[in-house]
Amino acid sequence: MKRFFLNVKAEFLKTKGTTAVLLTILGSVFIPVINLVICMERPDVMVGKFGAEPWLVFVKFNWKNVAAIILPLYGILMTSLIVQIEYRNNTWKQVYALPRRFADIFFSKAIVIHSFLLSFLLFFNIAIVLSGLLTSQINSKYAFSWDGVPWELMLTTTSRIYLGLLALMNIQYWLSLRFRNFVISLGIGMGLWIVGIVLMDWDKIVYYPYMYPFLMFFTDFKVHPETLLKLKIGSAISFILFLVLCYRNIYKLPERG
Amino acid sequence: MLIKTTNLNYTFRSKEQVLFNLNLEVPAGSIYGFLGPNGAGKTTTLKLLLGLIQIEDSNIKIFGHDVRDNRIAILNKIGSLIEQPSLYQHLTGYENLKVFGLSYGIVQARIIEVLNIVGLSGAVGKKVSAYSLGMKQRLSIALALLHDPELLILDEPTNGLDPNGIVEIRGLLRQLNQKYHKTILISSHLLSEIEKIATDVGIIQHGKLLFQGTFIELQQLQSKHSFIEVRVNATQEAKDLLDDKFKVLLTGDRLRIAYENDQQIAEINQDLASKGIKVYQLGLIENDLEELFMKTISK
Repeated sequence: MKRFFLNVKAEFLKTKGTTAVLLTILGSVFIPVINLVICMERPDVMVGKFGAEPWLVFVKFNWKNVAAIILPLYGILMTSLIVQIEYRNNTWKQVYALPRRFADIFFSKAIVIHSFLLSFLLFFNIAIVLSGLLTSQINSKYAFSWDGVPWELMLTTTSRIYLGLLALMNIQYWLSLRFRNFVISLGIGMGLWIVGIVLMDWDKIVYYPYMYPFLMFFTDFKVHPETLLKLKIGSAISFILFLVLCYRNIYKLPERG
Repeated sequence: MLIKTTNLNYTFRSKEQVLFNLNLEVPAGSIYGFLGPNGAGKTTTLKLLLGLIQIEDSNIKIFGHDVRDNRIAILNKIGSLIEQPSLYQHLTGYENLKVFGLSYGIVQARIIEVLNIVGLSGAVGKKVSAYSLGMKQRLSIALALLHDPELLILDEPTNGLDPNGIVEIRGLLRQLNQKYHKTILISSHLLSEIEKIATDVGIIQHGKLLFQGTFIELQQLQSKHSFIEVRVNATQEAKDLLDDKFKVLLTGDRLRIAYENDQQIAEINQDLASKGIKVYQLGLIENDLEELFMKTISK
């Protein structure tokens, strides 16, 4: 087990100074910074919009673009970028020639990918809070105080969106491992996401993993509580299903590296 | 034998068979030159040895154990470099070694040690993308040496290097074999690149092992198929004179004569001179691998 943790550490070291790191940092703060600028520029519109519960509105205001667009695209791109580190440097064969089991290689990289995703979510939440507090500091008409930060709402939303992203991440991991060409995995991922957008009104959309993050945020679970359960079960099943399929398929490839 | 394959066959998914009953035998302590032109099956063989290509029936034994059943234990004792340098270009030389060192549980002192062995201790903080090809090859060899393996499998480690780089790598490999007692399996498509260091040789073409033995045995084989080229004032007359004793080919205004030893070269010169034939030029034709292959095949 100690060897596995050392391998995970090695996988993290490989990402040092890569675009995936930059993408995580910039992508996570992008929307909160934009919203900060909007609040500064248009207080006449925004102050009234936030009403009596400014944090609740502000958190949702930040999340809507992130859940619908930024996070799915980030997941697709980041997964491809991390796997591409090996393809771009021709290092897969060197990795597979190490005395490491396939499961060790497979899961240590998966852990790095999920750590990046969780870091994105953490940075994004921190950026929301800082953005709100800074808005109040700059313009006192905004009523964002530290005491009012809706931690529970933020945690619930973050957990649901993460759960909704799990299957998408596994499919992208599979595609990225399967195809040496970065454009193929990226193209298929983007294509599947766009198909989901087009099929948004389809009554079976709850079975389409690429739309889970969107549905996890935009569905009104007070009106449709049954949908939340469907999405949770769908996310968990498709996560496991695609993990197993991905593992088996890559393991069975006749040539590694 | 450190490596032994028994009737090793491999067919790609496209149904193209690339290896035919390969019986590779690499003795412990040797520098085994695995020679063959591009596409002969060298890299495929090395990938099979390392388990990078999976096959149903493994006929490969390394350190006396079946590769398929003991892959992890065997890889613990092998350092490898397959095809072009496999390095993380965005990381420094030191960080590259650290990445792989973590998988072996290697401490920092060993990283410094291997950097010294390959002569890269002055460039540890430099990003690999700024390394020359020679430095990258050296770093790749350092990487293969990290865990102090008994066996090194190096696929064309001098590929793309300038003559100086080739000499440096050759010196390094000789040192690794003689000072650090590493058995080295090195593939190349150029006989000239490894003839100065190899103790044993295997020649592969079209997936078939055409020759395997010590380098001395190869030299004996090579000498049986060596030629000198002679330019004289009376070509046809010279050919008629030598035809009885030697195999003579007329190529333009020159004669190509097969010989087996230095004594025969002197004899050829003497025969021509005694008949008053003027010898303007007499030179050895270097036996390149391609020619040797052809001769080995037609043998």
